Amino acid sequence: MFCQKSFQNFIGKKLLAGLLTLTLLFGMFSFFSMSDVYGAEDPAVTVVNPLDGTTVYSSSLLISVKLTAPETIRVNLYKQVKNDSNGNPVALTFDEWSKVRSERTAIVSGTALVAEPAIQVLQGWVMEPVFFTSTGNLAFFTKKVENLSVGVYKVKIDTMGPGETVLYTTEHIVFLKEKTAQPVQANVFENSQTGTVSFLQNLLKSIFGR
Amino acid sequence: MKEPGAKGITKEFIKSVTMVVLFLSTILLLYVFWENINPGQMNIRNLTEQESLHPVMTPAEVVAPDEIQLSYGDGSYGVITGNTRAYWWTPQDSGQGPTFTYGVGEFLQAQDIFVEEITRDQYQQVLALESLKSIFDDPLPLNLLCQAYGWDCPSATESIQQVSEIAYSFGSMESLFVKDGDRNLYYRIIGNGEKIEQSPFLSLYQRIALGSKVAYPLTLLLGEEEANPVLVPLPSEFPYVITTYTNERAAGGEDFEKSLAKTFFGATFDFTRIIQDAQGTTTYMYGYGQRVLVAGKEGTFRYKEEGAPTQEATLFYSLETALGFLSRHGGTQDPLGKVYDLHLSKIIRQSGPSAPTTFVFDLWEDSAIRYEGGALAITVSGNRVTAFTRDFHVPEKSQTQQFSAGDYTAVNVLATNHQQMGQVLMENGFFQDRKEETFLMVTKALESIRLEEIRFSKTEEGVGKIETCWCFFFEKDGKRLEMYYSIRDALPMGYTLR
Repeated sequence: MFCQKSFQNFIGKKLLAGLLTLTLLFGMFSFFSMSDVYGAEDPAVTVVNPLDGTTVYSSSLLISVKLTAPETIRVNLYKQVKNDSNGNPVALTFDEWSKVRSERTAIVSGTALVAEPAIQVLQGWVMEPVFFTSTGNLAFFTKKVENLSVGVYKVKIDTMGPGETVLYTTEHIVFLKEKTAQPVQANVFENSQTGTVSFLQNLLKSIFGR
Repeated sequence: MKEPGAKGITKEFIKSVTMVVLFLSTILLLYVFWENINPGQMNIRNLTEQESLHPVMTPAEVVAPDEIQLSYGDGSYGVITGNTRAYWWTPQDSGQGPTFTYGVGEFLQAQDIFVEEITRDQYQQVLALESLKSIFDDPLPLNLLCQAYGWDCPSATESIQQVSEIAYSFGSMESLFVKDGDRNLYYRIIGNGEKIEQSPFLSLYQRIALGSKVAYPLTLLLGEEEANPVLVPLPSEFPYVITTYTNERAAGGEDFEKSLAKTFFGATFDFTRIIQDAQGTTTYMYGYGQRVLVAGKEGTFRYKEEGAPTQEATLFYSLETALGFLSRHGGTQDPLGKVYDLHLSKIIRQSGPSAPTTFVFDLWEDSAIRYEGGALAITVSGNRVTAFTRDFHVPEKSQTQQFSAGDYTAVNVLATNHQQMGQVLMENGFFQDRKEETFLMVTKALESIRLEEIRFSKTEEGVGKIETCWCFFFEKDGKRLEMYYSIRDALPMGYTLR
């Protein structure tokens, strides 16, 4: 009797663990398939600007992509947004993005207790996708996107195959901040001469020539 | 005592007159000696023809930067490569707002001005902040600019010889910055500093921002490894202009040619031979060839005058001499009556005292046109003009349309044509051998990339075209190579070695 009960318990736990694992795997698969990983990166495509994870203190963004093979790419820019309590999309804050990133890392490494991040990140529309075709072994796609608001953005480059198929995807995240938030740079002329020294030097130069 | 008769009185009178004549001759000879005038060059025409038929331009009117750059301080830039004059200098009553020369003039009125040499890195860092920069493809002496614009340049600025760039940065408002490209030196002129709202550069900055095309450093577009801070214009749309032109001789006919020749040889062509050859060239020759004007078949007028330089002259005075000469010999008016602005594009100075100086000019309208060779070249020796070449164009058909660069952006033109560019640079001695990848060699040698209207050389018949195209500028050891590419298909359109 006891043996039968413990066997049933054992089977039940196994089933539960299996179900949990399956749920976790499914959650991870569905989450990343929707938002991050569409496939391997194209070796012939390099996103020169912006570099992944950089901060830009401007309201405009330069997208520059280097292609080293004849192919067609589709370039898109998304703002990272979430739905608020009323279901309206609002921009993800930098802190929220950091939290999502760390949660994703924990999920991937298996240390997370949850199957998906607390915030569901959505891709906010910024511009119409742009297609660019390179005919040679070296070409550059360049575009300036203007009037952007502060936030987290994703540059997504799809390498297009026959029809509408996507062969590769390359993504870069960039943080846009106010120009005024730019860290104050050290004075370029901190170590330059004082006025008196300059004055004396100029005086000597004018007397004795250069 | 014998009273002097009528004969004696006449004799005394003749003596007195002779004395007066001798006295006046002595004064005249002293004047000739003092002014170092060559008597062989004097003739009646010199005394009669020196009236100006056209307004005399001042040096301030003909000097203007080839490019103005503006840094937004966030890695993006604005560039103006067309007619920069409205931002550089205007007569005081223009009402357009402060200009660059006005801002510099105000800055230099400070009491204590110091000059210090700075490093290239410091120069680039401070100008990467919000700043304005005027660029001269052919460097100009600072004292010429000081004289032309009445800047109160203190003795401290004497160490600065040539100006290839002059700049102001809001990151260091007490300073002006100068680059001497010939000697690769960078200077900081330190003044009193001022409040931002009082700076004339603030409203100029805003005005330039409105009129400029967006540009990014090549490093940002290509990646860090090809480190070259040259700016690449990235306009979404721009005006594309294509114009066919003919020459002044064809447009103005014999009347125009004769009227120009009369300004050199007088209305009656005294002592002047007029020779016409079978090819259509007409030569006007005064005396035994002391002064010669050749009206070429293709519509170019070349005038030469013999004679040694009479005295040494400053560059500013030579430029004034050249402009004065121009006003007496056709000015900038074409046969159809259109009057152009002049832009001093190059100064060719030979070494040695009293050595001739040649001023090369382009013609500017609302837009700026760059020439494969200038429209006007005037050579001044001392205080005399010894050579004059006039090669104006007369527009025929012109089309302007808004154009989108599409796939043929400047970087793609570079990517498509780098092998051809490398080949041309090799042929012209810019590289000895291909030590590294051609693309890297070409991008490292780049000095400037611009979208400009180019007047291409005319055919033997004297016709040609002006077209908007991508221009790539390379410079090495004083040599300047300009390469032109179509904005429609990125194909090479030619190059000029200056």
